[in-house]
Amino acid sequence: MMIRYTCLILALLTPLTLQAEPIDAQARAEALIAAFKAVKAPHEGQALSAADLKANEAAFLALDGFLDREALTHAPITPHAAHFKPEQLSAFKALFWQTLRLVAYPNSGAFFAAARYTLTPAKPSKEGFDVALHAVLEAEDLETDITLHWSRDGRLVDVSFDGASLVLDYRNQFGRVIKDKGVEGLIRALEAKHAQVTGAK
Amino acid sequence: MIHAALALWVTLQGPASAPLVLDLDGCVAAALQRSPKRQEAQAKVRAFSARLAEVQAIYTPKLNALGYLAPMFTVEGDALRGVERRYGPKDWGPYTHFEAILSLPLYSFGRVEAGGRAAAARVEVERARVAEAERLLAFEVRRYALLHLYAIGLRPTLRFGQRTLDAALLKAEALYAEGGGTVTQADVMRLRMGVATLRRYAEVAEVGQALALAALKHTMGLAEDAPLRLKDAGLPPISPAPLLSLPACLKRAAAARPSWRMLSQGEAAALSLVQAERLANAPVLFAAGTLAMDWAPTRDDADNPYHADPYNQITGGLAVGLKWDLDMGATRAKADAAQAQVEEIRALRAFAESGIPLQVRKAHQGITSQTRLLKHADASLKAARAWMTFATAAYESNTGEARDALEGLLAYLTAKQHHAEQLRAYHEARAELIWAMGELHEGALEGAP
Repeated sequence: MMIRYTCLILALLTPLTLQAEPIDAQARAEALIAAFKAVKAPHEGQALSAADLKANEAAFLALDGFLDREALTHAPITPHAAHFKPEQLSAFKALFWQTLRLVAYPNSGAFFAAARYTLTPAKPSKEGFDVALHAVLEAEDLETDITLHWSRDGRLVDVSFDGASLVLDYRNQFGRVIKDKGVEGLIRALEAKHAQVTGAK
Repeated sequence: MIHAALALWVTLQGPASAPLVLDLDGCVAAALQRSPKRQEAQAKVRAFSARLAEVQAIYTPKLNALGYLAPMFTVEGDALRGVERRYGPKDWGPYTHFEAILSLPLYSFGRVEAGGRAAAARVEVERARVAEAERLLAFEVRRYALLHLYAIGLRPTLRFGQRTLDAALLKAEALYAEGGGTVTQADVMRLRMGVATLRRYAEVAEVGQALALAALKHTMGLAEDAPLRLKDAGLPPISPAPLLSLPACLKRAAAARPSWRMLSQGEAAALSLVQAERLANAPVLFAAGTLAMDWAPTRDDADNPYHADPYNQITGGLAVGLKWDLDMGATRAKADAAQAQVEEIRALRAFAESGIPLQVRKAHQGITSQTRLLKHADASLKAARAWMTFATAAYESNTGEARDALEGLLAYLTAKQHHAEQLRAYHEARAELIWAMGELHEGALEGAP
């Protein structure tokens, strides 16, 4: 199992080592979705087994390879960076990254496992490439248009839902929390969420 | 042994009644086979066909015959010699009588022919009425089926909303109990109100879908407990095929709508009836043959040819004649009534000449307008979905308000309902255009835009 995931990670990282070659963003999107689907999500009211937790470690690592951690953790606070002390900045980024992984990876895995989706060919964008996909959750009669925004080096830098950017939304949300409760308030809110998803609370 | 008994029991129970699973066109086809409305219209065709056969039978030979047997006492003698009547027990014998007239109408100076044309045209009117009833039935079936699909199509969305709100309420109640200040009493109550409102919507949708299904079964001529199920789990999406242009729809309605056939045949029938009524005072030329026979052995046969003997005789003969039934006043009144029918039908035709194209134009514009409105509903749904997604995500990550999450969810559910209503209005407009054009199937709407 470990060898398989190591191979997968190596395969996913290949575009990074071949900088001269343009990335195939659509294939990368397919691989990202496959990686999401590999994440084990607990059934309602149940905890994951030890084997599933072990499998998830590898799945999370594989998914980390797709995401631009620095872009995703810094972009949401770019206009507010001046309010952060250096130690607050690093604490925020670590906390946000961990929370993002713990929430987004299983949720996205469950979503893509249940959804029917179609990908459209990649289009060039300011940051790199955009890959749009139309997903349908038949059980909930829910349709959504998702756009995966890739950097030129093949890392995910943002996701849009029905045309609205997730990073931009975080930026405004966090801005409002910082304005109302300060940077400490934002970090406390994220700590509470992190504690909730890790079961520490 | 037990297995054999069980097998027999299962056989006697018969197969479980499998549900009838149909799509929209399947419902229409089934309704056309079973609906009492169509059967009623078809019965009228048979009734008027019989009336036509009755008119056509006028030129066939008719035979009127009468015969009887009666007891007769004895009578001897004749008018010149005097008679003796005896009534003793042995003086009685049979008296038999038979008479027959065979007649054949030969010529009615056009009256029968006009009546035949009126009856034949009336049969065509009733046939066109069957076609019109079929199209109206198809329209009604589509409307009820769409209403049912609309209601069952909302189920997943309502379930999703209920699940999401239940989870949000649980979380909000827990946070409120902790007293951290992130959730207020108003937030909790707002969520409780949302949960209750959604349950109400779900119940209304369930009642609505059941009522629409019952109405659909009734229209299709199915029993109330017939296990009917629609193939689709919700309203079909907007048709990707281009809609036939308005001039083409008008042209097709001018050719296919059964109302035109009803009007033209109705006018022909009324005109022929006027002619037939005006000829009602004309005679009928006929040929006839008659035969009469009487026999009473207890009475003396009078052989004097100048003495009519009704008890012992044979008479007969052939003749050609004319028969009049003159009633000037009644004839004129009936002809006037028939003429009034002609004028009524002509007025209806004038009304239809502007009304049918108006129906087609209205339904066609309804489709194009609903298609445009659906685009706005799509945009509204998309925005509400994004609102819900981001507001819920913010609430889940402790950086957003419960109120925003609830408003986002309710906005999404409202937009989803509006979208479904718009989609139903679009499909209803299509069903109306199919009917207005005098067609039966969805395929009639496809063509060059």
